[in-house]
Amino acid sequence: MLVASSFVGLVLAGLPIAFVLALTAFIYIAATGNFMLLQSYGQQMFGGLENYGLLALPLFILLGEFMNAGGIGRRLMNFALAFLGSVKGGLAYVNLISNMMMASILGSTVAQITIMSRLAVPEMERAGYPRDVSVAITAAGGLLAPIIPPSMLFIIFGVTAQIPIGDLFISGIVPGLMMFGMFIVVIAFLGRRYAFPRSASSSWTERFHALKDALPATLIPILIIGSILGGIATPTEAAAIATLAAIFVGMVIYRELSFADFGPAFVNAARNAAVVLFLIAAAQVFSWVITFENVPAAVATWLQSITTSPVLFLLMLNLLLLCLGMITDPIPALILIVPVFLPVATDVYGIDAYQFGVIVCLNLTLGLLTPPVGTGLFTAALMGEVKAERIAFLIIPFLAAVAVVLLLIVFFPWLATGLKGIVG
Amino acid sequence: MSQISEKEVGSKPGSYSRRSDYARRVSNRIAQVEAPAAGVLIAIVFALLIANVVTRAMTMPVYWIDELAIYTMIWSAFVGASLCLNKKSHIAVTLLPDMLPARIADVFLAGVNLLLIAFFMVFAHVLWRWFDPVTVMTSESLNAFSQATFNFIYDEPTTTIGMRKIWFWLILPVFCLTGFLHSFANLLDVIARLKRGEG
Repeated sequence: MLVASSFVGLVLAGLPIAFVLALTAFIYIAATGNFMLLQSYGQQMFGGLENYGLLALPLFILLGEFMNAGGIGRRLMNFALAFLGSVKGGLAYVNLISNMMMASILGSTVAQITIMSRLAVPEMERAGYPRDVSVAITAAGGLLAPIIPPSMLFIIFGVTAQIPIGDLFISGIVPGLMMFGMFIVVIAFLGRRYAFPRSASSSWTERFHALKDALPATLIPILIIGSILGGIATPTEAAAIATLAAIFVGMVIYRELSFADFGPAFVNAARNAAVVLFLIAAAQVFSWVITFENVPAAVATWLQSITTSPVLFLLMLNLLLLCLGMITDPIPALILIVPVFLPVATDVYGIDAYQFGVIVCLNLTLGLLTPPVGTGLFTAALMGEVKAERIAFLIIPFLAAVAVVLLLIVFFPWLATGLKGIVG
Repeated sequence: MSQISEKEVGSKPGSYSRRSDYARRVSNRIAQVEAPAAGVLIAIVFALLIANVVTRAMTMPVYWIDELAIYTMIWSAFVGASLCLNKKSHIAVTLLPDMLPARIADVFLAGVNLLLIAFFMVFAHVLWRWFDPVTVMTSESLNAFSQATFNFIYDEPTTTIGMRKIWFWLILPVFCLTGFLHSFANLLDVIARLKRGEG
């Protein structure tokens, strides 16, 4: 009780969550008088990061930095534009498809919204789309990042759940494609309502040039997904190879990346990775301490007294995740949820760990676009210079689409686990 | 960029702000070293993993690269985690402080920094007991130390690198010290701001 109340108090006071975890571990040790644990505290904190799979995290962040500097995103968008511009509402689909391609390179919603707001929103506004709708579509496109591989959340889930990250990536592909399909339907609906314009049709020469220009850029997602699907490289190696490829394409082919960009790229990647990695290290200490209190077992007993149905359990979990996602970022929420609920889900309710992972990651991402604490929402609002309330209203159909996908995965687990069985 | 404006704020006359100004300078100087250090470490991780892929493709894999890459990442993580205290970029739930008037929010912020300082002090104590430098200095050998104390910190080997793990664990006391100094500077900034508000 002491631990739980101090935990909530510290979070609400605004103490960084990683330090809440580390400090609560101390409080627990002091409360139980188990001072022997202190002798292993440092070792546990360091040991929480001794994991080969985690190396993928700073590398995918680094890849994003180089992609950003190397002009790759713009080419992917021009490519989609050349082929789809003349369709009614073409630019909206172009935005979504570019987001899809970016999602297969980047693993972070906020990074993706930052890049795509800069690329897509001005273009759409020039073509006569309402600005607020353009921003909302861009923000919704960011929801593809955590589900289309590579995904930062999947890496963290794989590490904390101790399951192969490559297989998790594969599990995300079908749900990701489903989301993409649903978003197309939503955009078609928005297109009627807001009378989306058409852009001028491109000539075949223009299309050929756009294709040629984008080809090296498309190499990168193909490299990542292909090498992981084919079992040639681990996700960590795939990230390293893709980063090397992004540097090559940016410097040699597009000539937009210079050595001057290297320093900031490495420092930014190190800073962003450190926030997440230190959170994981602190979570390791925290969950190591709470296992002494046997929290997962207590939660399991309590849940079993409410329901024995796996589907009902998953629906309740979704509700909890939605609330948690609204007030905190997905990564800390994920780190808190997994050690307590994953053992319950797999051992008590017989739920597949991959199904669980896809549901948790997808659900928590919704929180990025919902007030009051929605980093993605505020990023999109800031970059697009539109009021956050307006975007929060406009993205409701997209969020509803994600909710439908979530429900489908709850009722049909093979949507998440099927492809893994076929490929593996 | 944010630290520049803080510096300007801190250098206004007054007995308190001079002390806070000095702490701020120390904190910022450390951050100036930490940022490139964390970046270089990530660059090394990247280079090691590329080397791993290349040597494996040439069918002569170097078996210690993975482990070294992991330790390099951990160093980068702790250096970066300390840096993020200076840059105030750790993830926190600021729902409640954001709703409060600025002055009360500052009181909360002072409390948060006090908690951080408390954490680093307890952590320092824990690390001191774990590294046990005084007993080590007075022991005949590291072996004698391990046998007398049952503390095997100086004996723990790495799996493949052929170095003792203590060399990598040393990042923890560094993190503890720099993290403390950043939090201390942040605290003095808030207090200086609160005092100025009163005067």
